[in-house]
Amino acid sequence: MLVDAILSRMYIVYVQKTMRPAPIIQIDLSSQSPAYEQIAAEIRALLVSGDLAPGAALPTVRQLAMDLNVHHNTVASAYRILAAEGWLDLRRRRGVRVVPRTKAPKHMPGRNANDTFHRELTRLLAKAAADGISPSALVRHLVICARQVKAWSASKGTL
Amino acid sequence: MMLVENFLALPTGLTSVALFLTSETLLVAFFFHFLPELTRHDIFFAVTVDRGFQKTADAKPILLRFRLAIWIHTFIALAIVFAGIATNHLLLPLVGIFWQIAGATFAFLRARRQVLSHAVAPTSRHEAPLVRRSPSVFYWILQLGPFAILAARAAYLRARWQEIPARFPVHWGLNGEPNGWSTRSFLGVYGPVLIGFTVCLFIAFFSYGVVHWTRHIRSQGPQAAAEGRFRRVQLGTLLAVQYFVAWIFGGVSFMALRSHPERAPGIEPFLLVTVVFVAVLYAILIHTGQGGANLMKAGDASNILGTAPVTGDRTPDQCWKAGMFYVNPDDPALLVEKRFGIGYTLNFGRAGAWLLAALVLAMAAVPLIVALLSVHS
Repeated sequence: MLVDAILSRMYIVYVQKTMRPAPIIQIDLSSQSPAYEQIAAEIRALLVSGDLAPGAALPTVRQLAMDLNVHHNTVASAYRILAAEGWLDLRRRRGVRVVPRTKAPKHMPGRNANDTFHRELTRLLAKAAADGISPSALVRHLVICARQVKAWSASKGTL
Repeated sequence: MMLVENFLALPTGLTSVALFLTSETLLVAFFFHFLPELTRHDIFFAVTVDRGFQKTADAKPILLRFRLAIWIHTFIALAIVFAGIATNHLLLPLVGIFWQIAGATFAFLRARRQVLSHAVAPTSRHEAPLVRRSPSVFYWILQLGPFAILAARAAYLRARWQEIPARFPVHWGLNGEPNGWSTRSFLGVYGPVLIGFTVCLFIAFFSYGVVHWTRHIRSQGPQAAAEGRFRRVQLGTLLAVQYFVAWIFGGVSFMALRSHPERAPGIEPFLLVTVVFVAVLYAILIHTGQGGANLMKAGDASNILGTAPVTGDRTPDQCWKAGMFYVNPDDPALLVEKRFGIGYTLNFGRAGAWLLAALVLAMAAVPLIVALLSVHS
């Protein structure tokens, strides 16, 4: 018991001194949104915020599938989406790594991306209003998000 | 009275065996007694329930009946063990041990049926840390220890090969007379080392599985920290078992070099060390609880009881057959946390699990094959 306590304490100190807390993703398996899109969206948010920096190693497809209790193909699809967007390198046998990404890849024209974003945001706002979130609360959330976007662009320059 | 007189007149070796069996039976009973409270806070008798259900008026009678059944079956088992030893019917102690395990299983199944009506659905929100699992180098260095011990024993036997008698006893009857012999051959001398090596190799393989084939159930907060500690304790326990196995089989291999090979070796120190070792393991497992449930500070635990959604162990209740066997082909995890017990069990819905089970059987066959080929009556 004492040895366990000492070893645990040493480990905690080691972790606190040397490691940042691991970024966490969450998905909802009862959501109407497909699991692979949720996974991709969660990881993308961490990439944009800089919580996942270039060079960071991501879990293997099997490990992440196991932790989230989803099929391997679900995680593989999410990784492929992010690789196509230029965030990840999926080289076989070398694991999944975050790569530097300074601008959107050529096959994603800015105008289309803007249109898609606007449509998605409008749809999301309509859904939130239909779910009973008040207009003032919606505005408050949008202001918080705007501040977050400013912080991203100031600190990482990825946008 | 007759049985008691017979028992008191037993030879020392048999008394030691009786004491050993009594201690082990009582240890198992204590473990079963505490087991329902050692599971995750939202699992009770292998059923996902609301946090805090274990303390409700619905749960207490179920727990009480289970514990009563455990102790009744334990005392019946002890009576059978003593009767077997006192009357020299040596199969009876085995029947006693089986009685206890079977009785505990039936008590568990009955309790589970009663809890099923209180089952709740766990949250559909799942989480995962985005970090690659990399086992500690230090741990894998420690893994070399048991193999080094066995290799050193084998090297010592090799160096003193000429001193080993051409035929030496390796098994004794309860009367202390030898009834099994081995010869100075490769399997006859190195057999115990080979068995120890096989068992240690399998445990190392299982340790690798605990690191790589198990699910992180919680990824943040005090529960995740407790789960991390639990995982490390599990790995440490497996390592301790490996060293114990290496010590036992390394010791057995030296029987070939005993100065008085015909004399039965004293088994008391071995039995005592085994009882102490198992008791310490049980104490550690009770201290951690399943998934580190007992490792959270009281404040953290009470905060979580009030706020967090029911997580369970992220496996669906309906995939647990009799609350003990997990069969879910849709779950990518090969090893999952036991619902009733501490540690991990196989997901029999995956082909890999059947492969692992076959490996366990193959490993169990190794001592049998070595004994068949090298021990002669």
